[in-house]
Amino acid sequence: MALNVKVPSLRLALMRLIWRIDERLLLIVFAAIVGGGAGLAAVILNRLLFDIHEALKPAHFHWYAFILPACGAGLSALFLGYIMKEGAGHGVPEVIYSVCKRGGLLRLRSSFSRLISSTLTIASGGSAGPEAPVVMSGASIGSNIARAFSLNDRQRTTMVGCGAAGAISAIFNAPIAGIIFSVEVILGEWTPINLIPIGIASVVGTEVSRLLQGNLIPFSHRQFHASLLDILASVGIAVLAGLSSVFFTRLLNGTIRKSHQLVAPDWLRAALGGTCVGLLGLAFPSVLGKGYDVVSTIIENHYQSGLVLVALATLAKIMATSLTIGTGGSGGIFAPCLVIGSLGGLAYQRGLVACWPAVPWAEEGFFAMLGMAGVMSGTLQAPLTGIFLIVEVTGSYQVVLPLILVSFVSATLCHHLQPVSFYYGELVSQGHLLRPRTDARLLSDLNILELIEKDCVVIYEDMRLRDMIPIIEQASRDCFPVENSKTGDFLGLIHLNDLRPYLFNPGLHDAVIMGEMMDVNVPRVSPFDHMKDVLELMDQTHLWSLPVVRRDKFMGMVSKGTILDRYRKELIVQTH
Amino acid sequence: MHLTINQVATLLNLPVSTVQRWIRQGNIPVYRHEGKYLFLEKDLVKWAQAQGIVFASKPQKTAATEQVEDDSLVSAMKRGGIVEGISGDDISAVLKALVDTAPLAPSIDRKELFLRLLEREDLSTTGIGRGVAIPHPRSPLPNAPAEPSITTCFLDNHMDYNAIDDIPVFVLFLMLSPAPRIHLRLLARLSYVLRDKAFIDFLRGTPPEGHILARMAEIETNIDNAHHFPKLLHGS
Amino acid sequence: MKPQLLHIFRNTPFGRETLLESCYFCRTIEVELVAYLPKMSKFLMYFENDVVQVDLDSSFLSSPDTAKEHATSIIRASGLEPLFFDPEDFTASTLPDIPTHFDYMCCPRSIVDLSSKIGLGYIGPRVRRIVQSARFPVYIPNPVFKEWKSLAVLFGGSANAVKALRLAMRLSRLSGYPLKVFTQLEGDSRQDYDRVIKENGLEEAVEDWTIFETGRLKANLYEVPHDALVILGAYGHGLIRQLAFGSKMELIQTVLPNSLLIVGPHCAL
Repeated sequence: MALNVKVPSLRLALMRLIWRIDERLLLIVFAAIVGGGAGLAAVILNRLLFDIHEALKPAHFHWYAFILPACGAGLSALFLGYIMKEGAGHGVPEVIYSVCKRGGLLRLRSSFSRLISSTLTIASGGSAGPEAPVVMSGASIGSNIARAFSLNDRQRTTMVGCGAAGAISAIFNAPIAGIIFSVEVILGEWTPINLIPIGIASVVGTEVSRLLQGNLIPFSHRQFHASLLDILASVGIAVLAGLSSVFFTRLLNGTIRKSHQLVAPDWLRAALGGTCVGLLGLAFPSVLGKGYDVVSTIIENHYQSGLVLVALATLAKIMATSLTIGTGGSGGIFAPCLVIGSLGGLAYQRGLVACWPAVPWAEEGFFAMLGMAGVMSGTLQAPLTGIFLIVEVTGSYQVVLPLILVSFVSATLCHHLQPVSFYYGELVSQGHLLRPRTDARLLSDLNILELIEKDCVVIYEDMRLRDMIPIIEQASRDCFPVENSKTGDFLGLIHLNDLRPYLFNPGLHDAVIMGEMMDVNVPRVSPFDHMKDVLELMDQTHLWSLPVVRRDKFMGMVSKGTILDRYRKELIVQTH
Repeated sequence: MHLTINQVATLLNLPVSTVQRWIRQGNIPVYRHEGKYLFLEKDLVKWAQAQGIVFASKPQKTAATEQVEDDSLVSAMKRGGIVEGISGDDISAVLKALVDTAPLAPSIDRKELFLRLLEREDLSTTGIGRGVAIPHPRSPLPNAPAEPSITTCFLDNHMDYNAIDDIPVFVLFLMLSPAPRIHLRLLARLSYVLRDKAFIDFLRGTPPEGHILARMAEIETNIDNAHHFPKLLHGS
Repeated sequence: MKPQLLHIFRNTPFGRETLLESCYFCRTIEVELVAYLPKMSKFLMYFENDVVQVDLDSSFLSSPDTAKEHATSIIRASGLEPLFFDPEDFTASTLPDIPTHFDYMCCPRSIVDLSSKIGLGYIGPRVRRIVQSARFPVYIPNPVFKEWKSLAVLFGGSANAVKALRLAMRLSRLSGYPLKVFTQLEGDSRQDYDRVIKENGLEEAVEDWTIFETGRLKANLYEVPHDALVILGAYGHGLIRQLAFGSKMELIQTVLPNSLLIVGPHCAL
């Protein structure tokens, strides 16, 4: 019953065996479990989407079909807001925020809430994809399994990455893309200690998906033959894709902003957005739902419309997605990117054929794929994810060269025009995108209370210069805080440099008091200030140490030297 | 060996809150046992080495923590003893005679000491005025004993020492210390004592050892009561 | 730095009583009171190994324009300096993060409650999760303001109970109020408890120690003074026990209307 600190050494040795030597093994085991869970979530979502879509099919022939997306989006918002009491939001930024700032802690409800809400949104015709919800579910599963076993921040973050990888791998049957996405977008760091568990989770997730859904790739496998001219033309599609991505991101952000300005309950906003989508869907049926069938049709060169209609369809899809997600619908942007990309690629190919009919351009499907890669890489600003995903979902490795070209050109162009991708937008503007071992992260980990130095001799404003002499003899620092002897309030700071010229002038020893010599305008730092701001202040004022004052009481000094020492130690332990 | 979180914090020279944060973030190897955190020294040493972090098994002894048992003037003078009857034509001869006859610890190389004393005189005279000189080596001798000593030496003849006030020197205080800081501390006390004209006159009478030490002790007590000197290490 | 207590202010007459309780607590043990005036109905608290979402009911958001004024005047009248907390970090646009570095937190018996549940017998599940994860003791005040004049520790002998007793000793010293300890023997003998006290050097704390050797706890709790602050440790170890949250805990706060200070398994004291 009592606290027993005498630890039997056998037990400790056993603990050590389990927890230390096998930490990596332990993570692998957990990763498999998490990957399996994420895979299951993906399968469930796919199943739900399919079943409900089938159930709603007859409704499409009626006049009220255009209201379906509105109902779906409205219900989704109601469900999230009132039943799950979860804040609205895209989901993936929340996962990244948690990884950057909160050691990967995610709420348990997120592991299933988004599955339901996105089913409601997408199955009813909303233009969104199932990936972001599954990523959120997988990440939350990983986080909560880590919580159940009391793993530390670093391990929990790895589990979140495993969940995300498992999710993407399962939903696309694309294990490599899952790994790359998790490392490139969610975790933001490539370290050996992460890669193995993530790889395992990815494999298990894919296996679960294959077991339960069969080993299918979403889009058919075709042979494409590209000539040199086609590869040159790829540059064009890259630019087009890049520009489309930028337009898409800006429209999305704009819609979110405008939608928040609308004073209405969440569900009403979502329903309004859904109505607009429904109306768009009347004119362009291809913009509804996740749109994989559209992509398949295009890749198989069966898409019938001409250049103008296809271009308009691309635009319509961009608008539909912005309306769905921007007004509060629940879903991801992967699938819409694929649709936009393939429609855009198709339009481009039609354009090429129209301009230079004599040239034997490659098939529509070829440019569709390049378009998909371009838009994905551009919107996510994650070129590697784009490349691997397209290769894996279409099975067309032989077009990898133009694929790489398009991905990187598009991503670079987008980054140039829109420095922050859709996922990172809010995070960056609030300073929350803190990747490990970056300056921002290190500074946010350090806090003043850990660095404060309390070895200053406090002096009072009524002390004379003569009284300072014995103090200077004994003190180890060269600055002295001055306090009011009655209230203890901090009044100012005296630096040895200020006293030096007068110390050896006995005539002044009784003539000068510290209250006259102190610097009352010395900039003060509060114990809760951010380290970044403290360093900026030091740079601006050219001071190497600053007083930490709280509610007029002096607490200690913070100095650049100590900051450097701790900064380096943080960097070292984080690099482990 | 098990270490607690407070011990680890001290050994890493970090606040406890930083170590707690590292535990939570997974940056340091630790075990949980019944709600308490335990560290194994072996693991920590390996971890520290891999990272290049300084981790001492025992808190490092810095110069500041080195304690000298007793560095009061009186004890130093007791250790050094009193020598009389030294004479010589010039500084070199006097110093040689002093070094040869002074009761020094056996580990001290007298030849080396003589050379170093001369070296110091060359830099600047140690005749600090009022007939007093304080010959000493510029840097501590290699085998200097851990405790400082001051040998008082009365000269037979007052001699021209090139002192700063040109007054002929009648007494030498040979100061040997293990570290410059201790030398400075003793010197500060000695110079305070020597400011007293009455004490100088007292010395001119070549008093016996007992009287000198008693008088010194009295003056030293006054020093300690005033605030002007770094307190004796063993006292504070 | 002085210790701080986090208080979530409800701008209603019920909330006023709770704030008065917190103010008295802070003044008596020399702690600063930091008030959070919620503008959104939810918030998150990130602990070391758990993230707790607290959904406040609408009464917490009532009359936001007068909230600060009301809170300030109550706090000032109690002789404390009003300090307010504004969240800086947000997990989502409607989900502020509340930091967990405080030294105490005041939770009403249920944070999500209708007025009927303010009555006894219901420590909400969120409060329980906070107790289980927090590094600070949780203060659950009496629904109506009453000044407590002594401290009563319900000592069960577990590690958390020892922590609670230590805390109680410290508070007794700070406040100047007497400390009484109560233990219900159930199967363990008096010697076991004596040993625990001895091992932890807490002899000074148990000078006034009432041990119930017979009778049921429910009835024996009548001995706890009506004007005492009751301090106890929540069971911490074992998954099963966690699930049950210790049936004793539920019993105690069903029977006693006193203000409670609960020391959870992760409290750093």
